[in-house]
Amino acid sequence: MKKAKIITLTLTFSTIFMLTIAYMMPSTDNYNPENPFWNGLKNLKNITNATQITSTTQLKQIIDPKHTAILILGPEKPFTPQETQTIKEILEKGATILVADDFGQANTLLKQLQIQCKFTQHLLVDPVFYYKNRKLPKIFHIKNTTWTKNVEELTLNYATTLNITSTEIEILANSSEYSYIDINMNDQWDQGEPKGSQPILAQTRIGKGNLILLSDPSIFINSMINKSDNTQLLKNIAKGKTVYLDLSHYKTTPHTKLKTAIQTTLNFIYVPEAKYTLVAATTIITLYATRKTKEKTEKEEVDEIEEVLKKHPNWNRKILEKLKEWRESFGTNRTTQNT
Amino acid sequence: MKKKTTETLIVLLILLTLLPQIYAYIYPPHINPETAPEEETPSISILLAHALDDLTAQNFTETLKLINNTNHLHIPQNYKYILTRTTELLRQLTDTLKQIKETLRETETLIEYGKLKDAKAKLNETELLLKDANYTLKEVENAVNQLVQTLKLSSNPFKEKINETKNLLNQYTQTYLNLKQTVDEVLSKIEQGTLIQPNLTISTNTTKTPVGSTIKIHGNLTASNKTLPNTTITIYINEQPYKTVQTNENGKFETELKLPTIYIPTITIYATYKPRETEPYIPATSNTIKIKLIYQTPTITILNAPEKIRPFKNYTIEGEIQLNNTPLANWPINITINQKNIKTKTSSQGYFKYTINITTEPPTHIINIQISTQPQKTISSATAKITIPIEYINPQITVKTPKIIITGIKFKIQGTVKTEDGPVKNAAITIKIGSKIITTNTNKDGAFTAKIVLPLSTLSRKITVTIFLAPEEFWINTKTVKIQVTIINPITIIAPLIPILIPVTNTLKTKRKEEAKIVIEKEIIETVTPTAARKKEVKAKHPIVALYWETLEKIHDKIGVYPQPSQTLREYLSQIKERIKSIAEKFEKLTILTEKALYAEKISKQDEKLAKELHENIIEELKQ
Repeated sequence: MKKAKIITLTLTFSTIFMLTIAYMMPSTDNYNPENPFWNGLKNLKNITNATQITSTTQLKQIIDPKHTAILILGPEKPFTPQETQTIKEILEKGATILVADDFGQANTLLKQLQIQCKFTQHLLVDPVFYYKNRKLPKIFHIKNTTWTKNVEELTLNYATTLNITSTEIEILANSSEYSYIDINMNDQWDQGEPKGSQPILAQTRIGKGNLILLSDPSIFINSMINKSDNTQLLKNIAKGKTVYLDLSHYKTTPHTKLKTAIQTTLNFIYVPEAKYTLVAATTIITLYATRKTKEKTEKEEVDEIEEVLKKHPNWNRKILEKLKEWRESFGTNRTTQNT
Repeated sequence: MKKKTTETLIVLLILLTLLPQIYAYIYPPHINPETAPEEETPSISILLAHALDDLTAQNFTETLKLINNTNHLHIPQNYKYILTRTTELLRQLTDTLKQIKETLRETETLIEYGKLKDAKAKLNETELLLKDANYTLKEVENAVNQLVQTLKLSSNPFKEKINETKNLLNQYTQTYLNLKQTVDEVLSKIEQGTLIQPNLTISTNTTKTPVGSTIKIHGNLTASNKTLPNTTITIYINEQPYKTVQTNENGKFETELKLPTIYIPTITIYATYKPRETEPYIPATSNTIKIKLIYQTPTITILNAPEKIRPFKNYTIEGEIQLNNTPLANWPINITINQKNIKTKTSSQGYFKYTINITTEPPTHIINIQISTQPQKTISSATAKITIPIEYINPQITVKTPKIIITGIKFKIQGTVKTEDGPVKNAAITIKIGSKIITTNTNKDGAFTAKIVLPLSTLSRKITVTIFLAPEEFWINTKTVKIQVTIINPITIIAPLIPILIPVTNTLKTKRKEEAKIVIEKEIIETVTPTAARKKEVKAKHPIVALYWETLEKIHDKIGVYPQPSQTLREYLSQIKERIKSIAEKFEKLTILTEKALYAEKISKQDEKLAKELHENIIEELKQ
C-alpha cells in the first residue's frame, strides 16, 4: 500500500514537473511569437503588440477594420474558401493585410482572391548587394510611399520574388540590377534564369482595404528584424493600427501543441468558477486526507490493545494503554538521543 | 514477392513522410544570418569593375550612381576604410572627368563663336582640371591596388580598367592640346593678318519695352575697317536663335524683332556671324543687349476664406483682384479646387466670390484652392493659393450599461451620440461582449438601444464591453468606448460550492446515522425486549433478530401470549416455556442467538445458519 502511494506521488510530481518545464521552455518553431531565438517572432510581437489569431474566424470579431493590420507571414497550410472569404470581407471593410511568403502556401489565398500576382517560389539571389552572402539580398530600389516611409534598405533572407501580371498592383520595391532567380539552386546564373531587377514588395487595394505583398516573411524574424530598415517597414504597416498575427496556418511541433494546451488549461483555470472550485476542492481533499490518516492511526492504536485483550481478557485495559504510552515516549527519547 | 511489395510500400511511406522535410531542406524559409557563411569573393570587385566600365564609357551619371550604391555593399568592418577611400577617390575622379568633358565642349563652342579670349580662359581652366585628374587617377590606381591586395581580388581586370581610364584622360588631354593649338594658331594668324577677326555690333531703339512689343535692331559687321556685305547674321534672344538677317552692301542690317510674350524682367539679345570656309574671317559674336520688359502683375487678395471646412456646408471664398490698386473689373479667373477647375469673372468692382461645398471625401484631409488669372497683353498672370483643412469632428458618446450582467437574462445597452451640431443619425454601432457581436444604428435623435442575452455557457468574469461607433459622415471620426462589466452566471457560480457541499452533506449524513445508531444501541442495551426487538432498526441490525421476531409472531398465533414491553427476551422465554414444551429448547437457543446478535461485536456465519435452521424447525413444528 505504502509503495503504491509513493509511486503515485512520484508519478504525479514528475508529471507536474515535466509539464512545468515544457511550459517554461520557449518554443523553437519558425515564426512563433513566443520564440525568442533567431527564427522566432518575439521581437515582432514586442514591437507591434500583436494579438495572435489561432483561427481565421477570430477575424470576424474585429469591429474596427480601418484601424486593423493583419500579418500573414509564411503560411504553411493552404487557405480554405471560407478563410479567404473572411479575409476578403475584412479587407473590403478597410483593413490592411500583409501577406509575406516565400515557399509557403500564400498563393492559394492570392488565387482565391483573384489577385493578379503570385509568389514565384524560386530563390532570389544577388551576387553584389547582400548581407554576408548572396542568399541574403539587400533591396534599395524602394518607392517612397506610406508603407515605405524612411525605408531606404531592406535585407531579405532566402527570399523569392513576385510575379505581377496586373497594372492595378503597385510595385513598391525591386531587387538590384545584379540580382537573378536561381531556379536550379546551383548558386550561379544559368541560361534561362530571369535576371535583373525583380519586384519583391507590392500593394493593391481591395475595397477600402490594402493588401501588401512581400516576397520574404523572414525579414521579421528575430535575427533579421534589426537588419537594414526592416523594422521601419513593419512599423509603417502597424502605425496607428491594432495588429493581429495569423498563427492558424502553421504546422506546430508537439512541444508547441503541449504548451498551447497548458496555456488553454491555465486560461480556463483563471475563470472564477474554475479557480474557486479548484481551491475549494483542494482544501476539502486535503482536510479529508488528513482526517483519514488521523483516524487510521487512532484505529491502529486501538486495534493493538484490542488484540491483546482478546488473548488475555483478564488484563487491565488502562494498564495496557499506559504501557503503550510509555513505550512510545521511550522510543521517541531513544531516537532523540541517537540523533 | 509479398515481402518485397511490403518493403517497397514501407520505403514509399517513409519517403512520403519525409517529403516536407526534404522540401524544407531544399527551400528553407530562412537561414540564421549570424551563422551564415560569408561569400568567398567580396562583391565589391563586380561593382568596381562596372563603375570603371561606365567611367571609361563616359557614363558619368551611371558611375556616380554605382559609387553611391557601394553603401549597400557588405564589407567586413576592417576593410570599410579602404573601400570608402577608394570610392571617394573614384567619385572625385568621375567629377573631374565630367568637368573636363564639359569645359572642352564649352571651349569648342566658344571657338565656334569666335570668342577666343573666353576660349583661352576655359582652356586654362581645363589644364588645371587635367592636372587634378591625373593626380587623382594615380591615387585611384593606388587605392584599387590596395583594395585588390587586401581583399585578395584578381588584379588583372582592374589594371585593364585603370589603363582604359588613363587612355580616356589622354584623349581629353589630346583634345585640350588640339583646341589650344587651334586657338593659338587662329590668334597667330590674326596677328600675322592671314585671318581677320570681324567686329559685329548691335544696338536697339530701346532698352525698355512692353512684353510682346516689337523693337528695332541695328547692326554693323566690319572686318579691318571694311564692311562685310550680304552676310548672314543670326539674332539670339535668351541664348536661342530667333531670327536671321542679311547685311546690306554697307555691312549693316536693320530688322524688327517681335518680342515673345514672356513675363520675365529682362531678356538678352545678341547676334553671331559665322564665315564660310573660303572667307578669311573667324566667327564673331556681337555685344549683348539687355532689354527690360514692361508688364504689370495683378494682385489677388483673399478677403474671406474659412479656416476649416466641414463637408456638406456652404462656405464663401471672397477676394479681389487689383492692378496698381485699381480693381480689375470683369477679369477672367480660374478657381481650382482639388484639381476641379471652375471658370468665372470678377465683378465690375474687381471682386470675386465663390461658394464651396465639399460632398465627397478627398484623398487627403485638406482642400487645395488655387485662384489664378490669365495673362493679357502687358498684364501677366497671377496666382493665389490657399489650403484649408477639412474639419474632422469628434463625436460625444454616452453609454449606459448594467454593471452586473446575469447570463440568460436580457439586458440593455443604451446610449446617445452627438456632436456640437446635434445628434449623429444612422451611425453604425457595434457592441462586442466577449465573442458576441451586436450591431445597431442610432435613430434620428442619435440614440441607440441594444437588447442582449448572454448565453448560459458564458462563464462569470469581469469583461470589457467594447462599443464602436462608425458614423455615416466621413468627417465625423469613429470612436471606441470600453466599459468594464461583471458577468455572473447563476449556474456556474455555484460550482465552487459543490466540493464543499459534498463532504458537508456526507459528514452530516454519517453523523446522523451514527447518532441514530448510538441511540438504538443504547435503547437495545438498556431495554432489549421482544417489543424493542420488533423495531425496524433493531431488526435491521441483524437477520437473526428478524428471524426471532418472525418466530415470535408464529408463537403468539399459537399460544396467544405476546411479550410485554417491560419483559426481556429471557423473561418472555421463561413465561411461555411451559406452554411450548416441544419447541422450548429450540426457541431458547434462538433467544440466546438473538441476544448474541444484539450484544456481541461479531457473529459468525454458523450462528446465522443455526438461527435459520431453528426458525424453520420451530415454524414446521408449530404447523403440526
